[in-house]
Amino acid sequence: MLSLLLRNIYRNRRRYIGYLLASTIAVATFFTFGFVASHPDLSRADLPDVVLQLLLIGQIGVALFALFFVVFFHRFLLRLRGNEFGLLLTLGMSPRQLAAMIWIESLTLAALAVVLGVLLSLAATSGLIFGLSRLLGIPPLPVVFAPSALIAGCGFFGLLFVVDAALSARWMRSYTPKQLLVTTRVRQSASLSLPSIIVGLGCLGVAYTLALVVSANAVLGTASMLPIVVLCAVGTYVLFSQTLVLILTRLRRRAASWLALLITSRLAHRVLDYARILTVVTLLSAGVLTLMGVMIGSLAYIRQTATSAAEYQELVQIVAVALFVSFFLSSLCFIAAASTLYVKVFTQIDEDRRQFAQLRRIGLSRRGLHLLLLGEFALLFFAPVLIAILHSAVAIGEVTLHIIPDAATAAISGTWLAYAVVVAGYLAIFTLGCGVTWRQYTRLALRH
Amino acid sequence: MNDILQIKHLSKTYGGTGGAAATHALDDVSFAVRCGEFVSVMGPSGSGKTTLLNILAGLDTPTHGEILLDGQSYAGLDGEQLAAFRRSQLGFIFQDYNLLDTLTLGENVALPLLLDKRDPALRVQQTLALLGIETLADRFPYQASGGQQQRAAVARAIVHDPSLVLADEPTGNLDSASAKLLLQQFAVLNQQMRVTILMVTHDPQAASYADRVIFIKDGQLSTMLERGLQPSRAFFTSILDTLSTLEEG
Repeated sequence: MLSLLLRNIYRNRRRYIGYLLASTIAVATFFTFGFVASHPDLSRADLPDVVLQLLLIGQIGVALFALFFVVFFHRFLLRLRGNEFGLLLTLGMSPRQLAAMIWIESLTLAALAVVLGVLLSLAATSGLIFGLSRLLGIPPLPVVFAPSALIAGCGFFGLLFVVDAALSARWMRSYTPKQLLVTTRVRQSASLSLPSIIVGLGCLGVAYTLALVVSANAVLGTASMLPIVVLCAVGTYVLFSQTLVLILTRLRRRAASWLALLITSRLAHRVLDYARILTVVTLLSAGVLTLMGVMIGSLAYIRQTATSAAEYQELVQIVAVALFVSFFLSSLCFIAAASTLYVKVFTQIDEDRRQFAQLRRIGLSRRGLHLLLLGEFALLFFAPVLIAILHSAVAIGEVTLHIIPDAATAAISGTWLAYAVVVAGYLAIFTLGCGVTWRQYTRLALRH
Repeated sequence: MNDILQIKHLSKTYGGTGGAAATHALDDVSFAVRCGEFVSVMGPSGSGKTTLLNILAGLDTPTHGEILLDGQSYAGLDGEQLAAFRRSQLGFIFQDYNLLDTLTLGENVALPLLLDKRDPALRVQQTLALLGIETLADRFPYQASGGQQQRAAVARAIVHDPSLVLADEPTGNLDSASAKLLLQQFAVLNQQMRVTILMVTHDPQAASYADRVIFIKDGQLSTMLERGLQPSRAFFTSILDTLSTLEEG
């Protein structure tokens, strides 16, 4: 049985590779950041406290990213295999055997990801330490891999992977074989409800208020970061699902054209998946926009305000580290957003091929299918960015209100200008990404 | 001859809570299947055939009534016991084959034995040979035709000597030649290996291979036809007659 299991993993490799890649990236980034942040010379180098705090915040951000990446991609992988699990249960695999199978598989993949990720992080660390020394304006630091970072990383991922494997196994065990067999065919349903809308709006309102009011105080501001993100996530999810339901039912009732009918029915069928994906991409995009906007903005501010050479030097060091941390984190957010979209799009290809073949047979042209996919991808790529612009604008507003002291008008307008540039760049990248994905996907899905 | 399967007063009701109208998918259905018998269940769509099959497979629970397979009741079995019961007592054949894409045909057939911790080596080869696909053991499902895949699915359903094989529209996705071949193999398995088969179908041609056809309508047992000593042709005609009477009334 075990050898059959391993063979099954091997032949499922194309599906596992996405998850393996995601967890390898998560491991590599966590270790890289840890190695850089706990570099012995860095703590000795007489840097301002703010720098060390920034590194700590960065480490927490990277940990959250790793957590999200591992859990999200694993769940996605397992859900894709619902059919297979349902069949195994029907044939008489016991729920306990199924849970054991998932547990073993998960931990095998986790071990592989840790080994690959650590190796990758060794290379990345060397490069980053060199770059950071130049940014800080200090002589090149020797490449050192602090054992404390290694231990912390192994502890973190050991716990994360074991808990995730146990929860995933339990989660799949909770389904009946019948539920698993039909997961991809059953329509997801969500209904319009006023209480949900109120809760969603309430969450966003509280989050925005917290962001704008509490953050004046540095300690409270840092402490309220997590609740703000959570409230934002809940609010965004609720609003996305409710808005989708509202629009989809309206459009479908009218069914003005075949295009509207097909798009609305396809979205409605997987409405909760869409709401989930749109929320994730929105939050990650908001992260990128905020981090980059603040970073570029503060850079400009410091140039203008530093009075003495010594103060300038200190500020530059702070900004250099802030630059490093925020660039690192926003790259991670961007990678996560891009891979979430990639996974969402390319995991539906088998189902789409079948459906498209049927549609071609009843006379829908290739051009029609191109149009259909373009509509779907545009929603998938741009709806999150638009909401993310709203979220991040609030965050930038918070920064200009409270973090920049005595609210120098030049600094504020500089920050907003920087933010506008970042938004424009991000929109450009997403437009390009949407176009490339559309081209590739239509080519693959309509090949036959 | 003793009954391998006894179905007593089986009912299944969906909904009916919170003011919604209840649907009686099955309404007091009772019948028995003898050991080594080949039984077809026929009925129009929505008549409750699939619900019956799901309950027999242990995938769904009845609202009322009892099922005894080889004297053992399904009621009161927990998830683990039900799984053990399924893998030793039941074999499944689905309309869309449902082979695991990542396993070869041979491995797919070996799966029920491995789940039951039995050595697959000899038994798998024998079963594949019985269905005439022994040369295809190392092919993957996508490298085999629909008919070949369905024969592998049949091999998987009988490899572990189950008490009962449940087949859900097994010929539904096959062309007429492959369907005919499959049904002839069903007949051979049934007559020579004494495999007990319960097949749900709406194809009268397929049903005519059975020893007995049970018709259900609106969740209730409506009538039954025994083949007896009639030739296939005559049995087929009487199935058609019964179907048309059912559809009229």
